[in-house]
Amino acid sequence: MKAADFPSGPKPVVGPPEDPPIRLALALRRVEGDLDLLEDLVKTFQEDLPGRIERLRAAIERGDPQDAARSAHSLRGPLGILGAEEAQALAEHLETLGSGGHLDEAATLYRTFEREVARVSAFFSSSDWKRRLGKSE
Amino acid sequence: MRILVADDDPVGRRLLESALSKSGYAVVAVPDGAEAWQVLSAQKAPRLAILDWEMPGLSGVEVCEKVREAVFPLEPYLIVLTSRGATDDVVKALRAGADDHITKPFEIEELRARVAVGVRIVTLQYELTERVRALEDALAHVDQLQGLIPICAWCRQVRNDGNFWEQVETYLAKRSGLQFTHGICPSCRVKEAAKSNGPRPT
Repeated sequence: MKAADFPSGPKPVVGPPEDPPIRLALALRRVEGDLDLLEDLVKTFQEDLPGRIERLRAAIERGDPQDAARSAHSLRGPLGILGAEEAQALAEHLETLGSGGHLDEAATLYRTFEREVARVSAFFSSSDWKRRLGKSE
Repeated sequence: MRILVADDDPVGRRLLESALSKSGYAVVAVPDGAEAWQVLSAQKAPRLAILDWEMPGLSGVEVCEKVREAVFPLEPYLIVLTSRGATDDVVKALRAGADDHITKPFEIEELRARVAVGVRIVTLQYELTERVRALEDALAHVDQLQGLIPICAWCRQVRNDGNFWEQVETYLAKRSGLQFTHGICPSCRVKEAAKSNGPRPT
């Protein structure tokens, strides 16, 4: 992804594909090192995510820029808490596009966002992240 | 102290709940602005509330407006939580009635520090209200001791508000917290002694 692919609004932080989708150190700082709390938040996030993603997708599909902006905004918070910086930045960009009524660009960006969020979800679905933090299964 | 947390994001709400509970606060957590308003307008409402800006139904800013339009015996301390950090947004939140504003994603220590400020403010407010109440009570008693007090010219009993005659010390004690000890003044002592001794034989 190049910066030119995003015609307006803030430029997301885009790294090479092999970068992990989560900054675990950041997530850990948000919960003051409480691994049980982090696990609880991840579980809540994973349960809540499909509904929010669907709402965003549906808003873009039916051409409702304001609802698309609200839906994107609603995803920024949990993505930021869990250290998903790239996904958070993409959500912020989608919110800006929705607020500005740029639904065509939002539709294009949405595909990138959806892939990134899928990476986030897959990351937390594996047990690897817990092992990296020294948490037993 | 009880604190209300209103955020439609369950991850954010859970994080707030945990951070505040660890600091010893009792947390009431709700998922939208309408419930937040219900909680704040009920009896014995939490004295401090953290309100996410963007919520379905009533936004955090709209809840602030409703709170400030209503009359509360003790105004709650309101903190608006949002990823909007622009000056215009901060001004909008404060003008709507928020006492403080925290930008998301927040650092927990900053959240705790700002909540501690709020707790200090509501505690001071409560203490001031109690002092005013005590002063008003005292003033009411002072009022009762001003003006004309009907007193018997002979026995010095006083006619009270219920039209009953009572001892002057009883009357004053009820209205001022004064206490009395009883003795005999020199002129009364002479009179009593003269009565006891009777007329001198000639």
